[in-house]
Amino acid sequence: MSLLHALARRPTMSVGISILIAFTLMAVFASGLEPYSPVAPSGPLFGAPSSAHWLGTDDAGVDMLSLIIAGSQNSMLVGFAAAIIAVLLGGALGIISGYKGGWSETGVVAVTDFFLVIPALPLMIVLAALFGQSIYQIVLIIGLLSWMSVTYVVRALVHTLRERGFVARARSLGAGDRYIIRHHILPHVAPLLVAQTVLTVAAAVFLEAALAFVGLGDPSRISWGTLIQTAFDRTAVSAGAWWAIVPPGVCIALVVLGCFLTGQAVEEAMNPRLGHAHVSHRSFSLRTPTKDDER
Amino acid sequence: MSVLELDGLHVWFAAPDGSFAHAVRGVDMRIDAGERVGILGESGCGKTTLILAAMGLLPSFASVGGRVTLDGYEVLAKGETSAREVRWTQAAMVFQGAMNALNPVRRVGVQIADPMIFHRQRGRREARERTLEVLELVGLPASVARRYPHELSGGMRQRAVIAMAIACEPRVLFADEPTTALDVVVQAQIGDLLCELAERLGLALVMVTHDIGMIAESSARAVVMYAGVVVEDGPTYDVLTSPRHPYTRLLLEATPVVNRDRPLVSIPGVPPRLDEPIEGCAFAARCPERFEACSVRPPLLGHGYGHGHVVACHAVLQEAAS
Amino acid sequence: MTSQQPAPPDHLLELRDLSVHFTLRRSFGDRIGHRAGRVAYAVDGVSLFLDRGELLALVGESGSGKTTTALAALRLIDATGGSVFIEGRDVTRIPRSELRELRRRAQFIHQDPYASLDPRLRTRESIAEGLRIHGMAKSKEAERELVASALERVGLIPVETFVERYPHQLSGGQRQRVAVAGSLVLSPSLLIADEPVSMLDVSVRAGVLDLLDRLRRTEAVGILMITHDLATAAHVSDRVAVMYHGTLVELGTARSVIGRPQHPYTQVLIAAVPSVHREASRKRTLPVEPPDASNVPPGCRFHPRCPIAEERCKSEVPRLLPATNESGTTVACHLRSAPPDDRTPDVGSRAHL
Repeated sequence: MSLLHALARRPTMSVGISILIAFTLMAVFASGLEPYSPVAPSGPLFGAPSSAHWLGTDDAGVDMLSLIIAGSQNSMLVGFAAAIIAVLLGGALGIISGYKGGWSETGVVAVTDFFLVIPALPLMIVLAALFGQSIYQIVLIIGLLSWMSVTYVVRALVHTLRERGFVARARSLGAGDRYIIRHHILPHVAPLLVAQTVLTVAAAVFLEAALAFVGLGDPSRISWGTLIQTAFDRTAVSAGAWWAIVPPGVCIALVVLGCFLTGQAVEEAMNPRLGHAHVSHRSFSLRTPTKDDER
Repeated sequence: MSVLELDGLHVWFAAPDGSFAHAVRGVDMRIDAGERVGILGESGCGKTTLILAAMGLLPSFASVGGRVTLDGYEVLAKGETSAREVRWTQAAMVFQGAMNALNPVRRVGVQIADPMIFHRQRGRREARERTLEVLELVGLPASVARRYPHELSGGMRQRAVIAMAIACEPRVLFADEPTTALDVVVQAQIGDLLCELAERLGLALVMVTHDIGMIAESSARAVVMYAGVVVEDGPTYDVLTSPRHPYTRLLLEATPVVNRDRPLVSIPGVPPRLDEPIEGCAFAARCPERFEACSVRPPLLGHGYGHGHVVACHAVLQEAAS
Repeated sequence: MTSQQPAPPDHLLELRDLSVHFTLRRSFGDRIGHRAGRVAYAVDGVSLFLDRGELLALVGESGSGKTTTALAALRLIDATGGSVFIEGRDVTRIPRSELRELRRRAQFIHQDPYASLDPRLRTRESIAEGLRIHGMAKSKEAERELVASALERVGLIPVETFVERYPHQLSGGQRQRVAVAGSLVLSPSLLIADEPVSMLDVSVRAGVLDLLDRLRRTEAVGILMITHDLATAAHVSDRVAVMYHGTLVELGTARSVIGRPQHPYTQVLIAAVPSVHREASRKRTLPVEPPDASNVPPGCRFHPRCPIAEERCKSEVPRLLPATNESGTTVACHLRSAPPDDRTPDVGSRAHL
């Protein structure tokens, strides 16, 4: 497929996807990778990084590296799960409103605007505070408040798809709406949904950390956000134990970076003209014709 | 004295997979001031690429070889930097569908004055006066300057675009399919306008089109291109009434004419791929007159018959020699 | 589900007084002044017929309403007045559920072969699309055979070379043939082709036009071809209908309409076609810009630009009547048609009722 072809060649894609693959593998094989136990102490309290403990230990003497690895499971899980919910919901709404138009579109747009206007983070905090703090609820809350931009983007794409020649042809062949959506709209929207999923993962991972930081994360699980929160709570700052705070933050930043690079590469691959706009800092090159070129 | 010279012009386009499409394959051309040249060819022959290269308007994945000299100045000597020196002030262009590329939120008069101010040719007041001048030249009333593009018809917008192109008094005016999206009657008017401007302003007019009728009426010289090379070049009347190159001949036979009752011909086969090297003449595969030499050596432009009428065809040149 | 109309003569396609009016959005001034929105009379009272084995060219410039007429004829947009009979049935009145069957028997060939094929689908999938929509192929085998047969009928042989290709691997002419194949595979009786060759290179137009010409003979379909190019019409059509500003101004055999045009507009169109041999200055330029569909002048729509317009033309709408030169053409012009006969059906427009 030409899309995969185009993707494989981009350095942003390779870097981005490598990061994501690395962290996903880390999450999947967590228990196998952890050098020490993520729950039992194995070193000194707030021990600095050493050859035994590469990232030092936390306030209870638990190895930081093991904590990071263990935490990746929940952080990545929340990230992907919430992103999938958001994109499925946003994508469906975007396709329906973009294709149908009329009242369904007006209705969806109104609802989307409503949710967009609400400050998402405060609302998430309120909901998390009200409805409990299990990881499944966190996933739902983040997912149900991240679908709006997907809807708009998908709707815009469906608007253009609707006008394309092959849709008109399918219609004149006698196709109904469902056939057209299934065979012509969806396949062309799919790459966009992939890009949106990846970008939403970034947002979701970050939001999970934010919620955990304010104390609304799932207390029974380890995630990067809870690690940062516990570190702050347990006076890592005054103890000067940067290794308890910085690594989880770096992991979050890396995952977000990986997502952005991948998402951008997917978008550029979908629309090659993004790289060669009329207004570009690069210009044509000069070349001397060789013997083969001369007539 | 020629105002525009193309010497061994080549253009390559890089494809995403690393291969190159050789879109213009060694074109030489000399155009004098006041000449009206029509470049005729079908899609993919390189005619649009040719004039874009002459103005240095190629995208970043293009590479150019050879020389373009405009009034003694080498346009491509330093790539984009040197091209920018002549752009609009010496060589201007009317693009395909330009009438739809006017900025919808700015008045027409402002858009016409813009290039003059940008190229520091005139101050604001002078630019305004000149705007009215060029509007008159293209046959538009002065009130058009205060209008927005959507308030004008297609034909009027195309005239406005032409006004914009001549505003900085270029020496050469390129026009890429200037009339395709317009009604037949308006097409005739725009064609007439371009001819008139070439005469009045001493412009060299280079018009690129696939429309033989347009060439017939608006150009004195016809250049036929195929697969990146020039195959025939001569006075329009000669080229269209007694075409020498087999491709030109077949092309004319394939063009439906209103009052002639002969069957239409289509040329079998497809043009060659430009990302693969072409051995010999590019048209050989589809040519009814081909013989051995045609697949071995590419033919050079030589004098067929008549004044200034050159053809790139082994068969024709062989016959002319004998 | 019987039609209320008296049984019409058995034409393959018949348009009777077809009208398509678009109500434009009301401007702010309109709303304040409680005025109704302006109406664009895109198609206004068009009547014509087409039989099997015939190729009728509907000629007009952009804005003349020819494409709108074609879309309304197949009910791809809704008509606001008049009727369309396809094989005797009034398709403007049938319920939506029966539209599907109509879509099988009457096909539309789109203008832009570069846009009408889904770039993700291979040739065989594009052609089989109609079969799948209508459930016409019983098995994969059957489908493959039907597709192969369609490819042969449009001249894309050897079939194996083309079945697996993607659109970007085909030329414009080939794509257009694939589009035709995709319609033929449904065995339609009527084909409406919208500017089928205007986006193709000149050297391949003949091939596609020949194909259409051949099809109407061998496949017994009737073809309505929309075009702005009189020369194209001249080469393949039996009859020509000329549209101006939403109405028919001339209708007759290709030879008479193009060889001896009666309506002043047709004459201008023909004179405007450029030619190598023409050196004399052109009488073909018209004084005023073409009007828009929401601004219909009273009387004959062409009178503001007509070189021979008289007083009568400014108030009285001319009807399509036999031309005075007895060429068999009908023309809508006071000065060129025979005086009205009381028995002639009124085919006037609705714009001023």
